[in-house]
Amino acid sequence: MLQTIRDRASGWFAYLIVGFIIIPFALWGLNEYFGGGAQLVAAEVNGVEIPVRAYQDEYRDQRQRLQAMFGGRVPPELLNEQVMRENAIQTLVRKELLQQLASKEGYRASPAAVLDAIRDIGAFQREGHFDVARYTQVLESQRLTKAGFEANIAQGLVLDQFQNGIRDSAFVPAASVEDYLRLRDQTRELSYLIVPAERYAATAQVDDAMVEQYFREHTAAFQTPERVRLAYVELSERALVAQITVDEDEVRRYFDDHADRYATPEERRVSIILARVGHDAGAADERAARERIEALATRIQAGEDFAVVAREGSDDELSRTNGGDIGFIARGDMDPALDAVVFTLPVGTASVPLRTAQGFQLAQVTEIKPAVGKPYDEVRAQVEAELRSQAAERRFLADSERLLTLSYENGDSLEPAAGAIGADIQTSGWVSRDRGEGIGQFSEVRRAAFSDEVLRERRNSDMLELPDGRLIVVRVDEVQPAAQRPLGEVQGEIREILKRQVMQTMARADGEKLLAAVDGGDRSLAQAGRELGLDVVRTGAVTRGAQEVPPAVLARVFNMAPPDADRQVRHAGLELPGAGYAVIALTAVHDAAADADVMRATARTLGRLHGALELDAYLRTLEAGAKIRIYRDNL
Amino acid sequence: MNSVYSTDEEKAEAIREWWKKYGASVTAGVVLGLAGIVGWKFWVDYREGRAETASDTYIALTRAAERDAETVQRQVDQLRQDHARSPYAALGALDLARQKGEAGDFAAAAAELRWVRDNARQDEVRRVATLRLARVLAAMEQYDEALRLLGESFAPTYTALVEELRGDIHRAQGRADEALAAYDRALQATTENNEYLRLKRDELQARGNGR
Repeated sequence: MLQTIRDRASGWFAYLIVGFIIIPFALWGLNEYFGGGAQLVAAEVNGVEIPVRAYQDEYRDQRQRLQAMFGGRVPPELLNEQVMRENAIQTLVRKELLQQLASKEGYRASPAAVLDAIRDIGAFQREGHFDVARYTQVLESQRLTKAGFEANIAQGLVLDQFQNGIRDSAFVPAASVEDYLRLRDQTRELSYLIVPAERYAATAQVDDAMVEQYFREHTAAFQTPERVRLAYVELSERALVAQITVDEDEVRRYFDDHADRYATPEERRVSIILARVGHDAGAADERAARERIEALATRIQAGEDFAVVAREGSDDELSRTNGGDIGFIARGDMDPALDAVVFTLPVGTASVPLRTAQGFQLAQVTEIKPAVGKPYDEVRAQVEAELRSQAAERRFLADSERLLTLSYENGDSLEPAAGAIGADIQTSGWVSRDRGEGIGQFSEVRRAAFSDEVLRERRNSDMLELPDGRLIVVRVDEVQPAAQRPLGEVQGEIREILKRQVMQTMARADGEKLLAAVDGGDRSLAQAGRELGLDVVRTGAVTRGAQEVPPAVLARVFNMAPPDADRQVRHAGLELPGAGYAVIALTAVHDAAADADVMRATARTLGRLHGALELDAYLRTLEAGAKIRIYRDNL
Repeated sequence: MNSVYSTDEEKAEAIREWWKKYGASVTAGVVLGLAGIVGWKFWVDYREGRAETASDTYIALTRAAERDAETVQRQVDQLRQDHARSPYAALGALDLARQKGEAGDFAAAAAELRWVRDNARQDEVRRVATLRLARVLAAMEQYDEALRLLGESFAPTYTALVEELRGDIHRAQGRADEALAAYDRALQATTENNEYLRLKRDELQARGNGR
């Protein structure tokens, strides 16, 4: 068979076949066939793979956002690894799903709309206007290409249209808005009294039998937890900085060697002309672009103004209108090829054509702000601090290596590790599984201290990194086992608990009696209160958010039926756990009437809320219908 | 296999024979194939261009939305006429419905929502339009028609919204028990904090307590 093919594969017939094979490559490019390659997949949404790298980026971003929100000290319960991983992958999956859908259903963003959106971004503006130089600089400093960034913007626009289009088009009929405000801003007039539990402090009786019974039923609550005292070695970069000394000569030498770091760097104002051609363009395009730029260069050499030529001939849309001006540039801001030339050109001379990532470019320097050095005395302290922190960082790295190795190799003692890094072995206070002071306040320390390896086998812990950057290794110095406390020691506590319970029961009994009396119409709440010597609080009209009424009472009041002709006052009772019993009289309910401005604003909010609920239902339906697979093993 | 053709001449002769017989079809096939590919590329570009035009029109109408009702109306009509199958036509109509509804013209809002319900290509957009239509009909006191729409098949993800509206309708009809039951179902299904729903439910329950 192969032989046949080889025999026939000659002459024009062979060329015909090769021609057929070429067509798809010519039209779609080789990368479509070999693109991607083998990479770990985090999830699959309708057959589209989300690589693990994207997931890792998302995870890191979310973590950093969280850290920024709490200024670096995130409450440990929020730093739940599992929850954060799940959030990251769900975010990516939903985004991918939305993108697929938006694209399939025909959502698009035009280049003009993308440009508009970019012009509106604050980071690219100078004095309130879009600034080309700034745009170029920001992108280059973020290592982004314009094409990639613009595609990203387009994607964002489309997703916004999709989501806002559903969310912002919801509305709520005016009658409902009125009804909502009537309820939300409703006020109620009430009076209430509280039969306080404290009232029965003298009369409440607790006998020994009750104490014993309680002790028997709650033995577990009267145990002291297992506690440990820890020995530990710590390594802290901050402490190392204080130990390091730097002599004057060293500071001087470092300053001399790095004078440019203590200066405002040179900046040059640059204009450019671009003949755009990508790196992957064909030879013909490459040649065409080169010819174009050479023609433009000739015009400039012949004495034409750079700005005029830029306006007429440059492919860079953003700078063209400014005569090619892209503003002030510092070293390293631009494409390396351009950078090298721009910082050697004299003012007013155009460069020769340069090949950069974007195509062929001409550059001209229009203004130079020279570097300004600072005198030694002004920066001495800064240089010294820098030297010290560099030295401390080196020592920290070396010492952490030693601490890690020696504490692991000598699992039965901290001495070798402590000796090697010149640290003392310190001792903590008592630490239980869920509480401690000093290093015991950190959950990672407690977890390590009560691990089998450290607690039972009495070995050194792993090297732990504390949230403040310290590294420590701990071992158990002393153990205090959990113990049952005897009845004699705890009966005082139990008596107190039981007494509170009895007081509460007595308050409730009297409160219920009082409620029955006022509700039956025998007397008013005010009268009943006077008889018992209790204050009755009478409020004016209060809202649902009123501060002057205890929240539990307020919640109950707003859950009572309004008074009517038959019952001009409504009564209710409410147990306040531990504090007694409240009796409430509701005398009036006033529905709120809204003015036009509030109505308008509320209509908008309520509409958006409904829109958000509808969008959420919409998206969850799509998720239910999509083929989503998450490869948790790869995360 | 060498034995089939003993000389080069014979081989060439055989190929020439074959070409004489099938040459025209092969050429036609190649031409057709190439034309298909070029045509497809052209069609894709054309479709992308039209989608972008629809997108721009939609952006323009959302910007004009608050100021100029006539412009919005004209742009939505244009989307409907030229890009009926684009999602932007549906979004434009939904936004127009909001404007009409906020201005109190429920009949016009209902007409827009009906158009989306009948013409949108995306199932979920039609579903959202149906829900909104039921809400408008309820405001117009066409309770039976509204309830009929709510009886259509909604995915379980819509339960909270559907039941809240059902509760609103029953409440307006004075059927307190059914309204309360519907509100309770809505509360059970809801994932978000919906204050208005809770207020309505609590009021009904409190009135019930007073009976």
